[in-house]
Amino acid sequence: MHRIAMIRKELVAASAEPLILSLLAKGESYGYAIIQEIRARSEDKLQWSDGMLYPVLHRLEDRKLIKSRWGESETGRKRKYYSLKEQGKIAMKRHHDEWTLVHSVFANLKKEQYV
Amino acid sequence: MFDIEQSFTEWRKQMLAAGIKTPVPLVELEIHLREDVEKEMLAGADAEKAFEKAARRVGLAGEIGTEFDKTSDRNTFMHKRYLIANAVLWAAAILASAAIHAPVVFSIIILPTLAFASLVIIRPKSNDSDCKKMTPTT
Repeated sequence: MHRIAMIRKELVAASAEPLILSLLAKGESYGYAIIQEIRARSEDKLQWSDGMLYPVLHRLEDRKLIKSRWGESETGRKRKYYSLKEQGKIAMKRHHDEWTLVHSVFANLKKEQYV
Repeated sequence: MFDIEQSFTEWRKQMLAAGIKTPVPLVELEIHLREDVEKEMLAGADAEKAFEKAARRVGLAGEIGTEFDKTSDRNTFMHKRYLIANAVLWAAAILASAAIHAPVVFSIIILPTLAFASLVIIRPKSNDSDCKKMTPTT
């Protein structure tokens, strides 16, 4: 079986929005924690340049899919926390349906040994 | 000798030169950088190595600036939409007043109401209004 070394840039970019929305569906979070969780869950294969996360977060906020608030960490460090809005839940569901469909077509083709 | 605060200052200058606005999002990026530097140092790296690794992970100022520009372009579009909505609202108000030969008293009531509506109700929301004064904690 082919071992995935690193996810390609295009796929990383395409998956950023659904992954961020899905992570925030678990509860509010902040940039650094989001990056760490994505790295851990993908075993370091899905690597974002840390700084590139923030423009995505800001765009999602402009589109009213997520909201933010300034708070403090346990050590008193300022942090900007993001959480999902109702519109974000709808967007996340749409992403989930789309990705599930793509995955199912792909998996079926593989099962039939066309891939 | 390596001065970590000087490195943060230099890094901030690079970000500002790339067009990243302050306080937001620059503050947010700096908080992220400081958190990463701290984690590296806790894991045993010296300050210089920790800063280098964390700054590399944050990415190149130019690339981040370009990504933020896309967000600003969208905001500019939203602002234009807001201006057009206002213009249409006011044109409608003026035409309506003329069409019904509105008395001066009527205009005094309806026009300020529309002004209120256009300025308050359909005003684009500012997302970062509550964090303008925030600065990163060292």
